[in-house]
Amino acid sequence: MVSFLIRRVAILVPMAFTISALIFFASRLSPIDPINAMVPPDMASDSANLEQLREELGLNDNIILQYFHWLKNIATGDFGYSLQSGEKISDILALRMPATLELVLSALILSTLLALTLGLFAGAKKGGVADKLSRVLGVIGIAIPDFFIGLALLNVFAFRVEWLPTGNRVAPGQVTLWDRLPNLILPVSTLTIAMLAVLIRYTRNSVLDTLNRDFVKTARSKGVPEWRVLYSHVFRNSLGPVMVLLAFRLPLLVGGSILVETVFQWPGIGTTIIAAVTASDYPVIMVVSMIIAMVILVASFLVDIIKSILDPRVRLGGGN
Amino acid sequence: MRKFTKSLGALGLAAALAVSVLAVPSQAATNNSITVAEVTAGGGGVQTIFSPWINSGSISHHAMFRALFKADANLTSVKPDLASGYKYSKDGKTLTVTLKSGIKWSDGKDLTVDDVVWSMNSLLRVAKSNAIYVNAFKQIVGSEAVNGTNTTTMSGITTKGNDITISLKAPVNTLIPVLAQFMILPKHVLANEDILKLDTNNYWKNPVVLGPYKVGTFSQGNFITLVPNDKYEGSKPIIKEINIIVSSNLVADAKSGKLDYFTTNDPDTIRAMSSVSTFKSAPLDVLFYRYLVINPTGPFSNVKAREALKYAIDWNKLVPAIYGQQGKVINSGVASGMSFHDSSIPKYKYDKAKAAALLKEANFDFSKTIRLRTYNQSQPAVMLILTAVAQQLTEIGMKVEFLPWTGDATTELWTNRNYELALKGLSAFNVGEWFAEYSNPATFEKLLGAQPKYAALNSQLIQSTTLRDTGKILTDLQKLEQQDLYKLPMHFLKQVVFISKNISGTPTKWGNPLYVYQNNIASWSAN
Repeated sequence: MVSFLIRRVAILVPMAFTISALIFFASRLSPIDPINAMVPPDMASDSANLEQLREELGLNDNIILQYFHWLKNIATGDFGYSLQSGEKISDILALRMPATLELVLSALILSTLLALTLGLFAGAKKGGVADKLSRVLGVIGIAIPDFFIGLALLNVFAFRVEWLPTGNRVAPGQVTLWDRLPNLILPVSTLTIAMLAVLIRYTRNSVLDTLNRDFVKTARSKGVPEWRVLYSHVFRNSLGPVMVLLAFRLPLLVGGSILVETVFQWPGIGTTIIAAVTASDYPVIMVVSMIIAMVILVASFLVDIIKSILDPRVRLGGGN
Repeated sequence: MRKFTKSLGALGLAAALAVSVLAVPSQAATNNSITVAEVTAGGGGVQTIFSPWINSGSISHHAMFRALFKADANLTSVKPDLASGYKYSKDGKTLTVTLKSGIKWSDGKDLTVDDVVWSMNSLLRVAKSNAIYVNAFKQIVGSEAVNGTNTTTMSGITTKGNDITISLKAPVNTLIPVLAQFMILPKHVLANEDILKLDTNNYWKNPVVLGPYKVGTFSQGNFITLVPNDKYEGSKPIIKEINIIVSSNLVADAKSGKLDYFTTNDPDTIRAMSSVSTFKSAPLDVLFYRYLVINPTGPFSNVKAREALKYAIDWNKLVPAIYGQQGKVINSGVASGMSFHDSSIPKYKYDKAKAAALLKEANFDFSKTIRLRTYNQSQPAVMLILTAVAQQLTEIGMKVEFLPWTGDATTELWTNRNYELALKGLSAFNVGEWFAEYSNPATFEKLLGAQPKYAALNSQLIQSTTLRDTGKILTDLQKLEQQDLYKLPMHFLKQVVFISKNISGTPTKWGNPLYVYQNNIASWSAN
């Protein structure tokens, strides 16, 4: 197991460096001048002031030097400053991350619980009501884009019947989580429906696959109660592929859902990325891209660990 | 199956009940609070208070910041505010302003002449600011020595007691209206900050101010709540809280009582608001120009080809069809109906045959594709009108490619210049700004080359001291513009202010929402 872990970590490090270089140089290759993006020419007070700003932001330095300088700062927790707002990027992330976490974690937990429950029943009672419901939900969730689901929910619940707010995370006067709960309902529902679809189908198919295994037939023939067969044998053995899918959803906790956050004016990382791209705020773009890339690398590492725990053949090099 | 359906039904009912319990009740305006919507960059809710040295006119600016003078809704006539009065010398080159005594900042410190002098010097040191201040302050003696690399002060600004004397290189007839827009900032708070990047300073999260309101709660990414400033020397505000939010749907929020005030120039919103009976509206006659910039290199290098564009598009049909009463077709920077409009300028009525004839005269290269560009791709009305423009240009034989910009609009407009026609907007402080664009070295001069004739006339315009001189210079500028035809004016676009009928004490005439004027915000009350 230890050698397996060392092998995985040894791959991670050069990959992280490669990704950081790709992100940095790709953003710097953009033809957009960040000074122009920050200060439109008709708002520039003086060309000397713009040159001074360019110098202060290190934009005149050699690009290789800029890369290593940036890398060193990232490693020491200095993420730099937003060109658009002038704020520390670490402060921006500290402000926006809880909003994204709140939204995505709620949706992740809700969708996982619903999907696992529905998926288990759907697989266990193939052709039953739960199976039919899961298949309908699965098709809807996959076929319809999440932003459309969000807009549809907004249209009904916010614009027509006016039961729920049209957007934002916190309105004036809202202090506690209970106060803010109405603001959470629509965006969390949207993301839950979108996440539910794939997970239900995965769980259902995994359960169906496990049900056909010999050990299940053996358990049944030994007289084990059906509920115990389902829980102890079928469910637990079906979790493998599902855990892989869940692990690959971890980056969402950092990157957020750009479209859902935009539809609901949710002040999370997703809307930060949109604003940064629109304003050519490449320090923010680079840091957020870097964080998401690292989280994906870690998620992929975790998936390997989970698979190796669930199936020892993986770490011995003999499994699928 | 029946049991399952029953359970599902019960679950649905419980969910509906839960949602209705949690439903947000509408909050009509009361003297305790009103809610206003403002646009902000950054995604999500309110991110920051914008520096008034860049753009002013939002409710937060009206409520918190003050200038030496206060303009009327037309932005031309002023009354003293922080100043008690002013006096010009006979030659118009020296202005003396007397500052009032006893005015305090919201942190209790006194307002002094040092704040005014520091603010005016610092304006020339920031990287980003509104051109009306830069253009005016660069006429002050000693201004050329001041920029972001030093802390030199303008030798042309001196103080004695409460008097501030400003010496000018030449008379500047817009100086007083400009000073009525220029918000004074606290030297004791900002003097040691990085002035170059003032617009992104943390100061804007909870600024020290002079106005009737100050920041009470700043929930970044969500909202700002303004509360009465207890150090304000004027009448105490009646409304106790002004909540500033970003609304994702103005009409829905207005209908449900979650919003009490906003301004917009979006025709769809304006049309939809006609069904909201709890709001009153007022159109604002603002100098908001929409026009096409013509790239004079390539197919439109000949002035006849540029003139052909004037006859090729039926603006009198397109603008009312898309904007209704909100749009007014214009054929010049000084539109018909405005003072000093040159009536000799042709009306340019739609005439395809004349356009075709002019193109023939110009030996127009029809094989070249005309690239028509815009940065307003998020506005359906803009996309509609430009689609119609593209269509009408193809009807006279041109090949047209209409696309939004893919990169940064200002880089595309002035540096890359990969277009033949580009949509641009200008919210002008006065008509002079329209013509001042031609001699801006950072924008139009990059496209057109140096424009000494415009530069000379623009300089004369800001120095003119009589209406007669102003009229003559504007007429000369219009004639010059008609000779070159580098801009294709399209229309003015009116802004509309919407305010809840529950709110009274508001001005009888509203001004341009991008500038500050006397809007009586401390006297607003809600029933």
